Amino acid sequence: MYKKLIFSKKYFTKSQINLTNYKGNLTFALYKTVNAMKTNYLFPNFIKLPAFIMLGLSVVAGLLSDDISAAGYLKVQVGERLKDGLMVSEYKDYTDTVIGFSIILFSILVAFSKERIEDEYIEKIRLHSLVWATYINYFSLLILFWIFYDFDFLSVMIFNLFTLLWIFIILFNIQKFRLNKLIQNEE
Amino acid sequence: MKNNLKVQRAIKDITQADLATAIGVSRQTINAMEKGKYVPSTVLSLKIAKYFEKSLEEIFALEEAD
Repeated sequence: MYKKLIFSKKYFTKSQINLTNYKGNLTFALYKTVNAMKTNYLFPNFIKLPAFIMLGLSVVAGLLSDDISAAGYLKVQVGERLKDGLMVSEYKDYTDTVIGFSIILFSILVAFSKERIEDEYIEKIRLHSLVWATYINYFSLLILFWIFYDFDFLSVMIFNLFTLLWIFIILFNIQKFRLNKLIQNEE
Repeated sequence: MKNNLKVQRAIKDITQADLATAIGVSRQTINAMEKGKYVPSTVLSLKIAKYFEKSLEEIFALEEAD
């Protein structure tokens, strides 16, 4: 298996494949393993802006969800049933479903797409922001548990579906903004 | 860990931006390293040493707190 790793073409570029020395290959294979640790769990950078625009639209749609719901744009007939001897159509309103789905989807895309220059320092800042976002999100939830009850708490929970991602996006961008300002001041 | 990146840059007469492009990181990263706010990974340290054609120890050194 190890041999396979060393000699598999995947680990070599053209120039490096010329290294026939076993030791050289081994060292290179190890070097490559280190490089392979580069982040591969992020979305490409070009997604960020369109996702941000779509997120904005989704949030606006979320604020207008009552109107959209009333207008019945996303009301879909799901079946028919017999009621008092008459066939009546059954409808399902997908407004909240679609809006909730797109807010979360686009929040994830905005939060976890690569930076223009994605390096290890930005990775550290991302991790840092994510930890703090989690703290802020859940510590505020701990407090909100004691303030809101019953149906009011349902609204808190609905908000909480999105807040972790949003707090992260905000913290991460504040950090980036501060760093940019720092280097601008030095020019 | 401390480093003398700023000195090395001055010797070579290059800007933070030049160094950043040469080793494939952002300017913010170079800045943070020079300020001692960020300890680079082994890979990045080796890249920097290679770029300046120096050994690692000539650029990076341990501090007492490390």
